[in-house]
Amino acid sequence: MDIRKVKKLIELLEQSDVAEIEIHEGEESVRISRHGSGAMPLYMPQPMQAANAPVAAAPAAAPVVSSPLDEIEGEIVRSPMVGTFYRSPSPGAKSFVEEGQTVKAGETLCIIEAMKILNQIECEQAGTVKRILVENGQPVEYNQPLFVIE
Amino acid sequence: MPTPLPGPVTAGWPAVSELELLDTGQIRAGLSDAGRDRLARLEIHDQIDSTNTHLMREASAGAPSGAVCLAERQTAGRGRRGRAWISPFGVNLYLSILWRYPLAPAALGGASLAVGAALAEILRTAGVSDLALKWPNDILWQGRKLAGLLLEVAGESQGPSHLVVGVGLNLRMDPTQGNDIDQPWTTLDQALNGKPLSRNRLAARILDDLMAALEQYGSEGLAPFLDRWRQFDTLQGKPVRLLMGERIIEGRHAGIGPDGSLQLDTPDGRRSFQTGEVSLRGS
Repeated sequence: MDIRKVKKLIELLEQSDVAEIEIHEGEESVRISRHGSGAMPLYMPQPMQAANAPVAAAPAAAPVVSSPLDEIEGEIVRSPMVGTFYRSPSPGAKSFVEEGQTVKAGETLCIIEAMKILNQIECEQAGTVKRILVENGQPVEYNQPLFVIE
Repeated sequence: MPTPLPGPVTAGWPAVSELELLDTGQIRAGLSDAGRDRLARLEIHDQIDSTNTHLMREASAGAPSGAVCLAERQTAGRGRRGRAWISPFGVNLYLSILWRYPLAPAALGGASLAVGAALAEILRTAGVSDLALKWPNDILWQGRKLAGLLLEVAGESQGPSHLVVGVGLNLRMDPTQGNDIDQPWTTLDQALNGKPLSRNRLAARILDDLMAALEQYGSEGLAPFLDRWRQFDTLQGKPVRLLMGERIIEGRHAGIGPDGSLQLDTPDGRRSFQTGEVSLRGS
């Protein structure tokens, strides 16, 4: 499924009162859910390390795309840990990458700060940054999609 | 405090003879046999941008585990997220250690507390009492910052990975030199009430114990460090505030979890946190 379509669906959901939508297109499906009052947040399966993560750490009103993002064209770079997402080495500095930029394997995409450790998240294969899915300074969950690289 | 006046050296100000420059021979001589085995490379720079930045660059170029870098002065000393670490010449310690792990970067979170506990113990052994660790690894004396750690990690998502641990320890920087520091700070000289100590011996001790801690973390994880950390936990049970970006969470400090996360008792029950800045409420 085209990421633009997913983004559109997220926007639609945000503008509506609908808590969750699921779309099937042939073999592909995507479920987008809003976690607000009472609704259980839907996260990717989490390992032990993230089991006690503060659920409210995610922005309360933001919809979470909870299932097959795998069908989106391109590689999805996911967060290897619970932490805070930063797009630049320091506040005010130039971002590591922008959408549309080509990246080499080993290039730093972002920093995730967890336990006061600055983790440089590197690109594992060369390509073009199609989408940046998280805002600078936002908390991220384990396995949360961060970038789409094509 | 007044600026030092030219002329005779007055009490409380370091005499010129107290300027003890860092020296590879003396540092090596101060290491234990195990420490000398762990040390793969020892560089001392008169001046460098940042010992951490340097070792992260060296790591990408293949530098071995146990590579160490010290500097008399840093021109771009860093704390977290763009904060400067004030690094004047010859009066403090700035050192970084590179350590490599077969582990995934996500498994290195606890190292943040392990090195904090190890450094606090070194300072206690040097004679400092009333030390506190503020989660995960700020080292405070009488509520003021004495030492800071900056940890940086890079690697493959499933491992291997490498960690650079940077230590900034204020020794006897004078108040004018520390003018730009944006939080209450202190020096080891103050905490020891002027008791003299050798910079080279202290650097050797820090390298020895931190390299041992980094090695032990690789084989045993955080478990052996939990109680070592808890000895310095002075906020236990106190009302605190956790600042996470723009969010503030209030609760009662419930210590650290087995993975090193910060535990807070909140109106919603006990919660664990991996990021954020803790402060005592009402302070």
